[in-house]
Amino acid sequence: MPTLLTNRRMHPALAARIERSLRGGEHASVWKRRLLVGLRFTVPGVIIACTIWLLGQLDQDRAALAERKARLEAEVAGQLVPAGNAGVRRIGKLQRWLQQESGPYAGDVTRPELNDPRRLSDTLRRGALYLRSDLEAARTGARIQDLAGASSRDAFLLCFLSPPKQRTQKALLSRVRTAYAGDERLGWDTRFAASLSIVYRGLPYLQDDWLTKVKRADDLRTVEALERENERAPLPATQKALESELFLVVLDEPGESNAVTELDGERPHQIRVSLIDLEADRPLLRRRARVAPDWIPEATRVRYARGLDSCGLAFDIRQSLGPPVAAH
Amino acid sequence: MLDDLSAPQVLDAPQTHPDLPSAHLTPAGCPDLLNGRGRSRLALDDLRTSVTLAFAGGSAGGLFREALAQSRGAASNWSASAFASDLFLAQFVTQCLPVRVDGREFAADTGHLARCLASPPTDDRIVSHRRGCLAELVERPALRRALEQVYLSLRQYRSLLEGASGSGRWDANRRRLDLLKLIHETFEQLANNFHTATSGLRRLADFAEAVRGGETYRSLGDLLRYDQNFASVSLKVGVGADGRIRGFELLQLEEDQQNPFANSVLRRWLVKLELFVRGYQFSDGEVMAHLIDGVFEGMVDHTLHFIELIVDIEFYLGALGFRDLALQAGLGVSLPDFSPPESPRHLSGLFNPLLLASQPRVVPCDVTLDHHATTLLITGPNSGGKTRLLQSLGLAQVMGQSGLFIPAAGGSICAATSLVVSLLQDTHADQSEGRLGMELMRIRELFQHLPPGAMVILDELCSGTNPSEGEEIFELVVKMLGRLEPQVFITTHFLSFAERLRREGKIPGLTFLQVELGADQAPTYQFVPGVARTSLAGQTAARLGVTAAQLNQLVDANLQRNAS
Repeated sequence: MPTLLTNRRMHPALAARIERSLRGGEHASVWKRRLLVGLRFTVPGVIIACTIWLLGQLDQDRAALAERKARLEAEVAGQLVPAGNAGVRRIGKLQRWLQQESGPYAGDVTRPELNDPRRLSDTLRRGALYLRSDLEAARTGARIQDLAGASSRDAFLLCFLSPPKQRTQKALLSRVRTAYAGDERLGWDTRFAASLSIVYRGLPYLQDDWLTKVKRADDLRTVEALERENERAPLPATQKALESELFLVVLDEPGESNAVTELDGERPHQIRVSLIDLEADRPLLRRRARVAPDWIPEATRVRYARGLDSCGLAFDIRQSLGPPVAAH
Repeated sequence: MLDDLSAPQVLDAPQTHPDLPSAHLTPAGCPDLLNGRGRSRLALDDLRTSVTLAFAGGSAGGLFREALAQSRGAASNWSASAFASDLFLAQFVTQCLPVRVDGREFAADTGHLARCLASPPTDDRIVSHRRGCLAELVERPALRRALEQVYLSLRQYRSLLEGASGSGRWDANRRRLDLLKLIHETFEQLANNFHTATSGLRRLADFAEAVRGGETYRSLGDLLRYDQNFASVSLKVGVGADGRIRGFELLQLEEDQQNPFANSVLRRWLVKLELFVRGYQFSDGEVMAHLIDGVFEGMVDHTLHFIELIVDIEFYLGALGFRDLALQAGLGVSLPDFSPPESPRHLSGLFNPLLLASQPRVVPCDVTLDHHATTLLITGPNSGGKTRLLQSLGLAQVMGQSGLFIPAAGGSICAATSLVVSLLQDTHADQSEGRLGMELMRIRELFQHLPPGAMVILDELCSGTNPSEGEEIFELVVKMLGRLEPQVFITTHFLSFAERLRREGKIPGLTFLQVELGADQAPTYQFVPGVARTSLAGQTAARLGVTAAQLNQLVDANLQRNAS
């Protein structure tokens, strides 16, 4: 096989020996050398092909990322609530009202329209943000977000919005069990109220900061994480809660000393109930009543003392406002 | 072998030394400095692979020694087992054949030298060839000096090839280029320094010239020039007033474009690319490696002969070293004449070379015999030099028939068909017989195998039994040996028996030498005709402190020491 190692000036015998030297090297370990030659071309080829493929994949991923990001941005932009939104503005009043209601009791209040069963029903249909908390926690200035996180729809809210027909242990217990079950029935009967925690869980995803964070995402993993987070956010419930015009706050005063505390924490104590009209920025209802679980049979008290007291109090307040109108 | 020597390979007329018989020469193919036959003694096919591998990457050493151990020597009728150990041949080679160059002694392959001496060639033309070379080396010191330089180059080549030094320390191509350079230098030395030789040394020049005339050698030279002097640059250096260099100016750049190994820059790059595609490294070193391989492949067959050439040179330098040793001791050596069996023979100034290394003064002697088939009975006192004479005679025969200088200032010898020497009488643990029994077994074996015209050397024959019975066996052996017409040298202390044989004169060819005694009855280490009258055991005993008075004195001292 000719080689560039030789030239015309070389003696043919010398050229032949040099060519033999090349062949000799090849024959000495022919498969090893063939493998080496193959690798010398295959490996760079594979590397180049992989690089091209990876670059293509990268372009595709970049395009996909841009598309997903744009979609997410559009989605987030569409769900944003402007800072001037009335709901958002009302949220700002909550802390002030909470401080006010947790201060010295300002006396019972009952707006006249609440005594009209139909107007009461219309009022409650305006939607309410519900918060139940210990009075001491609210008084010591705890953040309302923290208090809201520990508050959920309970037996008081259920019985206040959908009171039982009569104040019997059986009727109350039925309502309490519905509240404890937390099922669709509870959701339906309390559909005009939203736990304040919902607002604070969903509100971050409805503001400009969230869109800014989405826009700053520059890799697929971050975008995917933001998508997942956005999907998990309770946006419809929050948006609906922001439309609420009322603030229903229930504050449990400290328990009476020397009183027995039940297994679920219930004990004789005073409870403040305030229904604030956030639009008018005034209280519609304010009550302060004592609850004590001693009227509950022991077998039931063990599990339902707090629920029955709460439901009984709600029934009593609604009873004081007049007969309910087609709660169910 | 004779056919080989007379094969029609002879291109030139035989070159002979004027003072010596015609040395048969066959030129070119192989220098064969040892035998002058023009044939390598090595298994070249196997050796080629070994040398090529050693050239490529070095070897574990011993390549030359192993190749020579399996080499085929010249045909010989002699059996080394019959004389080598009794003559201390290995010791003789080590001590008496020094290879010295510029006062520095080099370790020669003594095994090869001993094998050469133990196998004197049957063909007298080989002997003549060796003698011719030696004679010319003595006559022309310049040739000896040239041979020594070739020897140094070959030793360096062997050392580098076998990887004894340098391998692994240098760049592989550099090492191989150094080897090629040594090969080139060696051939230049051979061709330039031996072309005026008239003896077999001329073979070296013929061999080198034959190689130099070929393409392979020209390629070798081209490659070395390409490596060492491919381009020359002429610079003009500007030096400032402060002596500092201010700048360079390139005056001229010359490239040896006629060199067949020279390529353009582009072609050199393409060559590297080609090698890469073919699975080699992309480097200048890889290119050079293949050029070196191509050149060496052409030269390898010629360089194989270096392996035997180096020991051949050791053979001659060792002989010259022996001559130097003898001359320093005031002794003479010579290339003996070869006499026909019926002619008288004479050795003048014969000395024992084994004494050169151990004795401050070596006394030479003269030995004369009427003809070859002579039985010489040597008598004399103990420590009178009888055994040393036997060694001298044996070694002189070995060296003479090997074509070397003999340890004698002059004389003639008759070529013996074989040599049997029995000097040692050591007892071995595994021997089946006693001393006499072992001696008799060797005598029986001697009669069984000894060819006519051999040389036999026996020291104190039948001394292991009582004299009366020993003398009978002695006489029987001497009579029977006569039938094989050998040249026999026997020493004995059976003085009365020897005197009776001399007086009766019944055994033809039996002659007698005795140790000459001086005026003080001390041996002069010379030998004169006749039979000694005494062994002077008393004198020897007295000299060594074994008299009654001296022994009594020793016993008294011993007892006194033990009592205290």
